[in-house]
Amino acid sequence: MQQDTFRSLNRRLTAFALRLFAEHGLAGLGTVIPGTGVSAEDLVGKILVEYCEGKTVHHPSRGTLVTLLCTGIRNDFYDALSKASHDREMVPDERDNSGEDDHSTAKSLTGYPDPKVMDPVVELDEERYRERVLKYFADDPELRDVCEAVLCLDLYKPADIANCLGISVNEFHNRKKRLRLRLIKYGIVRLDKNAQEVKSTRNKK
Amino acid sequence: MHKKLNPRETRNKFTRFSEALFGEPCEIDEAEAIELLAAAGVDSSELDASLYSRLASVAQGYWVNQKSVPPLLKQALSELRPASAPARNDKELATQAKSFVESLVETVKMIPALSRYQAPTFSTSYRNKGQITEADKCLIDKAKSELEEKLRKMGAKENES
Repeated sequence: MQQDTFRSLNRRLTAFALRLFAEHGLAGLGTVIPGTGVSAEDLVGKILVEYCEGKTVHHPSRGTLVTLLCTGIRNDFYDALSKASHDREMVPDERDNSGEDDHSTAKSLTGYPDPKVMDPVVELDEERYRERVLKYFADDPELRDVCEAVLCLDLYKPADIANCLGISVNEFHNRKKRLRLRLIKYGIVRLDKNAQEVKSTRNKK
Repeated sequence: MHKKLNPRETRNKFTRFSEALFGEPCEIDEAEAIELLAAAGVDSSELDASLYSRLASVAQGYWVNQKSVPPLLKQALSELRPASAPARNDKELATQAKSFVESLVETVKMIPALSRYQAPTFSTSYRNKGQITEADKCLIDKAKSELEEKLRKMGAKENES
């Protein structure tokens, strides 16, 4: 905690959480994971409260504090995603047989995501993730090349990716910055929902 | 053919994709975080205020149960405390007053017209021109001194009012 103030931590963690949400088709601060009501701000608040209360302890020998807290956020995010898909399967089975009328039963079900309107990108499906990301960055050759190196050639180390693309490692990091910014600015889900509309908006900008 | 991954392996795979494509968490420094938040339409100060109220409600639980507030929670509340919040003690009141006066002085300094009247200066480059006769130079000098006198009187009048 020598370098990071809580203000700085809050901003960095929220940016990370927003990026995580956007990667899985959930863009914007107020956006929640369907069926759970969990937002990026909630995940950051929860992990910071745990850290402040001493429930999450940082050992400098095991990496930076930001990495530790972001790992917690990522785990909570994946838990919430699996809960969301679990809830989706549970809804039809949760019939209330206590004698309430149809109207009250229908009302209680509104708390659950409707499988027909629920965003299909909210799930951990490798093929769909690969397809979405490649499609989303297809109009920018430099960014598309990075995505292809990672998703199609299974290259993960910066040096390997840079070498494969014939660029410097610094250039690769610059492209990652551009990927992050574009991801957060527009969110992958918008391309899935209405590709024409987003492409025209982006062209105008 | 791809092997079917268990949930833990799937998560690990996604983490590898995510970090290779969009970078490791520690790669986002505060400056970039602010830029990303702005791109997402998030106001950083509102974000701080929201976290402060969340932490304050957690601290409230400790106070109600008469337990000591964990040191990191105290530190976080102290760092995130909004400037507009009422002072809790004399020291905080003095700090708030000092920063208010400092910001006021800075604002005043930015308005030079309020700080002091400055008389205008005249360019004398006409003296170096070859085509002007001595008589013309005398006329211009006379006009210049008349104008200076007029401006001096106007400045004095303004200062009196």
